[in-house]
Amino acid sequence: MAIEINNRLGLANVKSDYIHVAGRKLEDIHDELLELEAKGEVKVIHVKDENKPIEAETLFGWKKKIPTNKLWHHKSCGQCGNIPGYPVSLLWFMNKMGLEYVDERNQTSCTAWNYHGSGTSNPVGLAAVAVRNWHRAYELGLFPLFHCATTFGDYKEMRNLLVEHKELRDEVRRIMHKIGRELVIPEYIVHYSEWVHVMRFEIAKLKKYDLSNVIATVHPACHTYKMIPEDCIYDKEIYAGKRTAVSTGVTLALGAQVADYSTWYDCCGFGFRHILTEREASRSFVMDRKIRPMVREAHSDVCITQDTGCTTTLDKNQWIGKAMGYTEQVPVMADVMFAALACGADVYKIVQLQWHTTDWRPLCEKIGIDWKKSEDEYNAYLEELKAGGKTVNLYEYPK
Amino acid sequence: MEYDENGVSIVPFEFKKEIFEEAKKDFRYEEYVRGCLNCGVCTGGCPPHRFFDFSPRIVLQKMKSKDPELIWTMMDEYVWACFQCFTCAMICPFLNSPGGIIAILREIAVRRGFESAKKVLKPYSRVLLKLTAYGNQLSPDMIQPDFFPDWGPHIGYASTDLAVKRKAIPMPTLQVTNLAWDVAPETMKELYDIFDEAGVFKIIEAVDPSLYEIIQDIVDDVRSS
Amino acid sequence: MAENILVIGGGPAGLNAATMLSELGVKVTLAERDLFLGGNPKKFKYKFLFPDMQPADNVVGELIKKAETSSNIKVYLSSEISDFKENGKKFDAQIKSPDGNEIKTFDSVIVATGFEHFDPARDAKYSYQLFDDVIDIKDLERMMGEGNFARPSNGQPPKNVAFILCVGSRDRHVGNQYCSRVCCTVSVKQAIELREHFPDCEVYIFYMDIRTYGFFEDLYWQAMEEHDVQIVKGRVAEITSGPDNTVICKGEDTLLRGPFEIPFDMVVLASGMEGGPQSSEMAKKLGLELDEHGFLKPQNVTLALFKSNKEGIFLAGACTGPKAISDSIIEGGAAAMNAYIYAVRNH
Repeated sequence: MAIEINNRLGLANVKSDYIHVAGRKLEDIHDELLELEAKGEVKVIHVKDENKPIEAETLFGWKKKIPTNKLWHHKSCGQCGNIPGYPVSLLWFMNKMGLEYVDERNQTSCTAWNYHGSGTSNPVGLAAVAVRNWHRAYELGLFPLFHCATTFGDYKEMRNLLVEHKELRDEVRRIMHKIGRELVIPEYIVHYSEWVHVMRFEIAKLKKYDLSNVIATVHPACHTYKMIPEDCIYDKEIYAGKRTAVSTGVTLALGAQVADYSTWYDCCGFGFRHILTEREASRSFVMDRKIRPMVREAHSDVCITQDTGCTTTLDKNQWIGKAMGYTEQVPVMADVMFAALACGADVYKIVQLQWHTTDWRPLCEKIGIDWKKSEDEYNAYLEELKAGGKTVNLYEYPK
Repeated sequence: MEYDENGVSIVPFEFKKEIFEEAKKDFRYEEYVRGCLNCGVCTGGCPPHRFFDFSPRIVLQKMKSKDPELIWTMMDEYVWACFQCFTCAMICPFLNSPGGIIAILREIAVRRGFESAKKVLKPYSRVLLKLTAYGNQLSPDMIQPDFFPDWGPHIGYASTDLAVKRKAIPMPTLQVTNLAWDVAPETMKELYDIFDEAGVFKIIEAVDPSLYEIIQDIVDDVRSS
Repeated sequence: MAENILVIGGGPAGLNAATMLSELGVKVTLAERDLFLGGNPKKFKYKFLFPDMQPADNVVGELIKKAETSSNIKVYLSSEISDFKENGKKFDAQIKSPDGNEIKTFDSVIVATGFEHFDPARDAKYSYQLFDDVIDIKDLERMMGEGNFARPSNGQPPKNVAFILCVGSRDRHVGNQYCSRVCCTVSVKQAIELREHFPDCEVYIFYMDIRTYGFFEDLYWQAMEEHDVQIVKGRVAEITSGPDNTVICKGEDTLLRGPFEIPFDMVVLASGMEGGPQSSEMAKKLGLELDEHGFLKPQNVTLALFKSNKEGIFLAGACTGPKAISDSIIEGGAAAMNAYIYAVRNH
């Protein structure tokens, strides 16, 4: 048993000199996009110097510029309603680092959760919604940062379809003109976890707690690395470059141990529709295929995610496992929330773990975080607000 | 409609052929359906395959058969089992996308208002309403014990003092209860125009006419505000 | 005066071509990039060759001995063709070796630059380099050749081993749509050897198709009937951490079991063959054509597999596509005959 745990713990740290090959017809969409721009077919949201980009390598060694400043937050329609600590933790870090961004009301859902759950849309609808949101960032002179993995996957797909199909471009352009917008496409589709990944060493500088006795398991989101897999970050220092590096990278940089488990590649069981209307499938999947292997094989203290749906599904479906006699439990949170905890963010006011279902207090205690104090302060804060007090915001709308 | 001796409706072959032709007409079809040698990696990696009668290898094989009868057998609950995780598309050595085919077939099922699609999506209507009418999907006031009893007693946390708990979130966009974030009416109007132009409202009318009416009332209200 | 012919590459094809030409009285220049003759079988220490388990050293050793003892063959080791020009119907080539640069004029040229083993590290899904106990057929061949076969992770004999076929072949993800022809037979051969060496070790082969063509099929049946090798139709989808330091192979048994997840002590990847960087290098230097698979393109795949698109330059062995050692040796002879005819005509 000791050998087994040891082996699983070392895996994420295996380094290699990998060079993956892109064998399929994968003209770099980025180059084709710039060609379309040169022809005047589309406008492109470029990553500029003011975005302070940091370069990362994708699956096939392409260089992807991840903008770190002057960002437009494209929120997640699952995250904000359900895991508010997710976007708040991200903003908290950006404030700490003195970075500029806008978070506003002029944004819609990407509608891809709905599409993959119910089929009640089509490529034209999805692409038009994507371009509408991209254009909003464009007119503010900002680079869009997508919080949700499904948005990330869908927007990568829509970018590819738009670049490859003139008819789709024409149709979307027509619709954009109707709503007073233009056809714009970002140079790179960037997920927040990629921002966290390239900023991981900056984040680690803010670390307040020793995490060396924390064992984390990472659940990567299907829509980050399985949809348009060539546009996802890999790193030869992490899992020998064989598995996506996002989330694992920041967890290691913070000094926690990352343990492997047998069902790493499995999805979370969200299923887009199943999580809402066929939950017995989701919950069986969560316990049998994710939580139990994480706890039994890896002795995990925390499950680190990078997406809305996965976080919800994995967190909310553990309680019902008891009906099957499953006693395994592990708190679930996004990489950025875990990082915020490690860097001293308030458990309640910032990381907002109070909304989570599976008990996260043992994790806090293991790290040495006084959650009880946070809870008391938070409750007092709620009383203040009830009495008409004002919220202490991380961000105010631009005047 | 014709019926067999058990009172089950008989779907004419011509109709099944029409469905297959409709799938083939999709501009993504050629990209999603290539060769297949039954290697099974798609199904080996497929998460729902472990819980449902669903196999991406069979989806691909049935499409390759070009037999409308075989393809028709997937048009009921079968296509709704897929998790849309795209594990299959990532690992297929031929670069097929069974998950992509499912998306095309589901679009046909809802566009044509198939009974199976209506049945599958009925409990989903509350979410569909939120999304289509407000440009959001899951709001804090939906995460309540009556909707998610299996998520445990802690779900009740959002039932009490929700407004003040949301107000305590230090992001102004999130300080609402009926939406994940506060979407501006002007933004919603743009979304409605997109849904009009892309035929999304029409799809919803086909699959859930009464929901469509409710949505249209909200849309009219917002548009006239 | 005798004809001068340049043979590039000292593997089975090049060695046989050089030897046959020398027996016709031709002065042969044999340029080999490595420190030794014998090509990949020597480099990766192949142990036994299918179908009859001849020791590879006997086969390749005989070819090397003939080439080394012939007074008509001048061997340049650690060498490269640093310059190449057409000179009328002849060719001027500069051979760069540790002994310096030599420019010679040749009546004809044989290219026998061979193949490279596909490096499974280039395909993320096989977790090669991530798990110590995931190796490939060339690693296994070398380990068996060196007589130190054991699990790399702990030095213990394996309790069960899985072979995964078509790694780097028949897969659009890595750009190799072709079949590498020999990996099925090599894997079946190695499976038998493993079972003979470790009678208690279970051996599985996961396949999409088993292409033990011709008489090689005997090995396939033998593996099943005499050695109890488990042969499962289904390609492996994922390789992950298993219990007790094992690696799990996950996939679909498309005929019998449905989805499977089996922990193995070792996984052997049947890596295929690639044209390698030397093929494109030869194409560039000598003005030859590359085919869409990255190998050198013959003038006619049926009529003249040994002819290149350039008059006077001939091809032999795996530089034109994956093949067995026996085929390479035959092609060495065929290229030698054609290079000789061209040389005699224009001498």
